[in-house]
Amino acid sequence: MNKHGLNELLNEIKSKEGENFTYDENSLIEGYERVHAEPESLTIKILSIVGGMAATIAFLGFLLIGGLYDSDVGLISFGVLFVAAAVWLNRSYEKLIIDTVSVSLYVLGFAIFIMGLDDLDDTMLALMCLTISLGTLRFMQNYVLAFFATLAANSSIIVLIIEAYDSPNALHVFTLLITLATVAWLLNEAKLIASDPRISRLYYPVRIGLIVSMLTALIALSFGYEWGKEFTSWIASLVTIPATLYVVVRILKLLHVKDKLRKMQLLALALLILAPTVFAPYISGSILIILLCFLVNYRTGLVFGIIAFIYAVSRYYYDLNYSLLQKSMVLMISGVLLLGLYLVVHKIQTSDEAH
Amino acid sequence: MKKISHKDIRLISRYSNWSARGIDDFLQAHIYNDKKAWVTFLKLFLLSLGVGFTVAGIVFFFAYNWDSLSDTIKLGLIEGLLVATVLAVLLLYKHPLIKKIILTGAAGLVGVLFAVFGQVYQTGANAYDFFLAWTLFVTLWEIVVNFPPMWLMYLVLINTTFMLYVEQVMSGVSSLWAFTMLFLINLVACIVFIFLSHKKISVPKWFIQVIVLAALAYATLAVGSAIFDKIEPIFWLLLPVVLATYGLGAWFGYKSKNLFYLATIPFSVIIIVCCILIEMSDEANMFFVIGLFVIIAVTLLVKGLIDLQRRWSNE
Repeated sequence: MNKHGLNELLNEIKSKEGENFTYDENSLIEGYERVHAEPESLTIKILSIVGGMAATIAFLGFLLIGGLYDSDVGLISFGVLFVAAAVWLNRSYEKLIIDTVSVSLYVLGFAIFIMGLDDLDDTMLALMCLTISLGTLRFMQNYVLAFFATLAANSSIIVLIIEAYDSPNALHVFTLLITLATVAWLLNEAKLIASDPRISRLYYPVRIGLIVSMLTALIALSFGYEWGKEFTSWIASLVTIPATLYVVVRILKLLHVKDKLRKMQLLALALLILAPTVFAPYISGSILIILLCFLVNYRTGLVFGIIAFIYAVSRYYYDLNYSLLQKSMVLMISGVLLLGLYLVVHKIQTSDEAH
Repeated sequence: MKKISHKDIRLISRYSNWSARGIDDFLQAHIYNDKKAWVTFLKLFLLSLGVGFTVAGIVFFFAYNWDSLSDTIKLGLIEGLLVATVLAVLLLYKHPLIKKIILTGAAGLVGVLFAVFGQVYQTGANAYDFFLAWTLFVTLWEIVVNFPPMWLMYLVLINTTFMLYVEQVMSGVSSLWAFTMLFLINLVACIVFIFLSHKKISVPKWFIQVIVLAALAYATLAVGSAIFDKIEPIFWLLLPVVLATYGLGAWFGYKSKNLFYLATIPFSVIIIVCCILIEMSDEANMFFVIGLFVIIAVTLLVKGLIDLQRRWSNE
């Protein structure tokens, strides 16, 4: 979008907002130049990230072989030093190149910091990591670093929950929280962007960070019954299924389904489809992500959701303790039900076009 | 209005008092998916799921009863399915994309047919036989059906056939030789498709990028093998080809303003240099040197690419 488009956009906004709409023209133009100075190219971004990672691994190798591993104090200090350096570098320079170096420093610093403290109680360690990652998010809003910081924060939270609540079901608690967080984050894009400039810069990296964390938790849940009898598989569904239904309500509003009875019927149908998956929250969870990402038109999240969904369904049928014959029956019936739904949607579409 | 990105929205929101409500309305109007998009999506989603589940159900049904089916029925079933799909393509469907997808599926069925054949007759053949037969028999379809995903499947088949052949029949051969051959095979594929794309047969970008990545990967692996194992005579064939290819590839990328070649080829070179460094010494200090080298090299490369891109977009 060029400057002309920008002015057009500003005028359009003004006409909707009214006379009170003001903007800081100079900063806007300056910011615009800055943002569009770095041409976006996926190739370059991937190259930076891969290069950064490779360098990090090499440096880690150096430290491990070089014997730094033996000195806890050395590890801790270098860890903190590197993380601080990464944050400082990123605050001072805006260019993409700095990302390569600072990402490596950040991840490396974190890794050796954790290695240095491994004698410490897990809860304390997790709390410190949580503090560091949240602090990172507060002080700097670089995309890749914010993403890693989100992942680190979520991992720390998992560890804290597991330590506090000594049962395999701890993962469910985490899944509940992260699902709520992800849904809230994705559905409130406008509010969050409008609120604070810092939060607005963090919005997109935290979004993908939350989605990745949620999907990872769901996939971990799918390995649940290998953890023994204590594991109850349905707890997470207490949130994933209602959350999915809530999103369905939003979608129905979008599809202009006004008739109350129709709405109830469709919701009941959705509940019917989701009900058999109650013991496999990873299925309803991945459906939730697919619907959410499509709602806000977020392609990357959508692709992740679809891949997770394919995994979830395959896993579900793989684990099912029925014979092949029973499975085939279940599959065929589900298939026919889904094709029926397809025809319903098709009917809605053609009846609309007829009007 | 031209395409508006998230960056612009965020920028404006930061330097103005755009209300949350206003932003939300804007997002709904311009970025979020509207009813039409949803209907299409839902239809596609439900249709694929419905068909997928039903077909899986049918497959499972046959799997359950497989052992009790007679050999004739087993083979006849798959052959019948194959004939049915091809007839469907020829007679039933008009839409070209659907035809191509079905034919790609049919090419997969050929593989299933040969697998069943092998199981029924207990041929005990080496796996590469199976893949070789599969590859040969779908060659004609590949040429006729102009469909990149099918080409991709074909290339995967060729590579798999070759790899299994080397593993099972030529077991004495070094990995250097195997990787060199794989590199040459994929290089030929690259050249063929790039050539075709200039001759007005449309070859999608992603497809060429995948083949180039494969060829580069094998080239890097081949040179890596030479560095870590012995250097054999075939290395003297590999080296000039690699040098020529990398040079030409980079030049080609530069001329056609395509960042992809200019990013991946130097990256492969960086990896090769790292291999050389590790081979020289695997002590701690070398890792530090490697880390430093990677950072500096990637930084310079990224800087060069960004400058190039800026220069091209200003022309």
